[in-house]
Amino acid sequence: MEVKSVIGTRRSIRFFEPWREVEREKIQAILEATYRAPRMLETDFLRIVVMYRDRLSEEELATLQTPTTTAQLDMAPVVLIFYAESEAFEASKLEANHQALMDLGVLNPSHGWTKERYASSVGPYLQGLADDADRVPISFGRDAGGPTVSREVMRLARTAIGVAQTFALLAAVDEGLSAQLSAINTTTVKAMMGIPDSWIPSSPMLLGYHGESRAAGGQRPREAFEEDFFELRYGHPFYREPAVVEHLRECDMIQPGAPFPWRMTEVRALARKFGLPD
Amino acid sequence: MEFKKAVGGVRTYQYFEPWHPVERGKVQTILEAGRLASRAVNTAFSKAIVAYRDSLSVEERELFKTPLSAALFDVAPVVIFWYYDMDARRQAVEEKKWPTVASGTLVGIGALGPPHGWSHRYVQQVVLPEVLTPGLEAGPQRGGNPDAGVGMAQGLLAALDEGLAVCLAPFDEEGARKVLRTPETWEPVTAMFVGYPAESVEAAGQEPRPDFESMFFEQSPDQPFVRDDAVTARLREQGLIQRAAPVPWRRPEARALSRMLELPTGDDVAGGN
Amino acid sequence: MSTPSFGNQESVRRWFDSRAGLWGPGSSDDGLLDWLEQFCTKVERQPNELIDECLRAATDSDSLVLRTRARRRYIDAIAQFELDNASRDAANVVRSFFIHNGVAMNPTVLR
Repeated sequence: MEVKSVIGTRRSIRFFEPWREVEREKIQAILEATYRAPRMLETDFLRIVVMYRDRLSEEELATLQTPTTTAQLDMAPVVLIFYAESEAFEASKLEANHQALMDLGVLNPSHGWTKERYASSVGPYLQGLADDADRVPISFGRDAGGPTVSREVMRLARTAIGVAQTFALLAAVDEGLSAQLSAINTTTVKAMMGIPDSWIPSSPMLLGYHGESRAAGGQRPREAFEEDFFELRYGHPFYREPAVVEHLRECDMIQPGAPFPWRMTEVRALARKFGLPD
Repeated sequence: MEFKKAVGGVRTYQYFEPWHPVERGKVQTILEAGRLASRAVNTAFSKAIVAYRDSLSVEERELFKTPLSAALFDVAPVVIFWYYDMDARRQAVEEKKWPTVASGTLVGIGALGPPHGWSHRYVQQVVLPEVLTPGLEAGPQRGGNPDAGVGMAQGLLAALDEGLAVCLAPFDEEGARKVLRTPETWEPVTAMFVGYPAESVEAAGQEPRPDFESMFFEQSPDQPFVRDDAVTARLREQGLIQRAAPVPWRRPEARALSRMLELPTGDDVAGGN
Repeated sequence: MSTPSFGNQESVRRWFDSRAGLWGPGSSDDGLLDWLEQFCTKVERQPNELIDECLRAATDSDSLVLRTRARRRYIDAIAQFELDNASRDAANVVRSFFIHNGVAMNPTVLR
């Protein structure tokens, strides 16, 4: 699919066909996309555990639910659970990664990438981020009290996860699948799967074939463009050129907005399809 | 551009044509893509400010620089400063601002509803006080938010789709605050350097990663997700997996680009490479 | 104060109003009330009592606090009601009543 169409077609899908498995090759294609996602400060934060719903017992599945994620977990045959390995942000690993990029000509002396400058400038800058005294726990809730990371490393780790999640969501659409970033009981997952203490948890991605129409009632509403984007300085909105909006409509990136007139009828029909209340 | 080719085309681009302005419509397209990204409870965490190299003074550009991004501010014609608005959740919850879960919009449009156990009363009287409000009393909390990364990354793919080169690198928060006048509640995500590539589209080639099986797992972290070679072959054909760095011509290309852009070539730098 | 008649209880009116708001007028009928009444008879509670048991008014605001044990008890009771009547639809009527009153719950999806 074309990039713009993929972006425009993505929705947070909440109805999946529970009886239809996802081909392993499609899961691999999604992982391969996240594998190519840009890294934050060349840190290899990303870890993903692919969880197959049907390998869990009913009891295990029930314990993964949160107050806001119930039926989706029951419907999605696959869940990609995203983590950031906090120990990836270590001086020796970062230096090795940067050195590899210098050796390959990705980073060059033209931009100040030399061994000497790394030692005198880049390395200490990165070390400063890791050593920041302002620290936060890796896990919250019942798992709080375990290892901590500097808040700066947490910021980078969370950003890295977000970047990978984008690549995964869009790759799923490109593979003809549907997905949703949702919530899961990370404490239960940690105990059930033996997740290391150093892994920072994040939202899982539910994955499957869409059980609702792919348009899912239309593109979800957003605040005004001018509230999010500015030019030259904060407070000076980036003027939204209507001709560009029209072009993006033609390219399928901006699609008809929610709710479609028939959306509520569709939702009630879906409730009947899956035996859910209305 | 085909999605897989865009993903395969991700590079740490370093060499831009500083004299070649990026069409404003392409910059808008990047922002539009970011705006359409997934975000928790549909809240506007992701913000951005667009700056142009030629509209910044040399002194202002200096204020943005970090050891990892110094030269980029001198060669990229456009820099998009991406931020995480740490106050967005509070605004959504307390002010019922924007079409979010908190304002009731997602239930109202049929994105969430009774089939999943949700109703307006559940949102307003249970989810809001028990899920979305706790923690707000502590005020804005630094430490990032994946959703800010989600929006930025979707913009990055749109930039590649527009035929532009992109690079992510950090910027100096205090310096940027002076120039861009950002609110105290905005935390930096990253700077996105955008422009037409002066280097070949391949750049150095696809950049190295750790072993696939050390990052991806099935059912538990002791079960690596073993790659199927037939799938990697398909993805190679489709452009997601491309020629690995370094392409053979990379060194002379980098030196030539350095001369062209009047940057150090490395020949005069001890320990250069 | 005497208990309002079954269909006039606040929780029942809220249920019907919420359904009408989402699904449109005419989306609820007396058939729904029949199933709810059967469930109430079985658990020996009035509709308002069911909701009051699951949602406690917070002391410092007008919000509600979910009582997880009570909710769990009724989730199990509805599952049994479904078995007794051999009807997912009947049980979903009762679930709908709870959901529109702010008590989230889901059965397992049908495959």
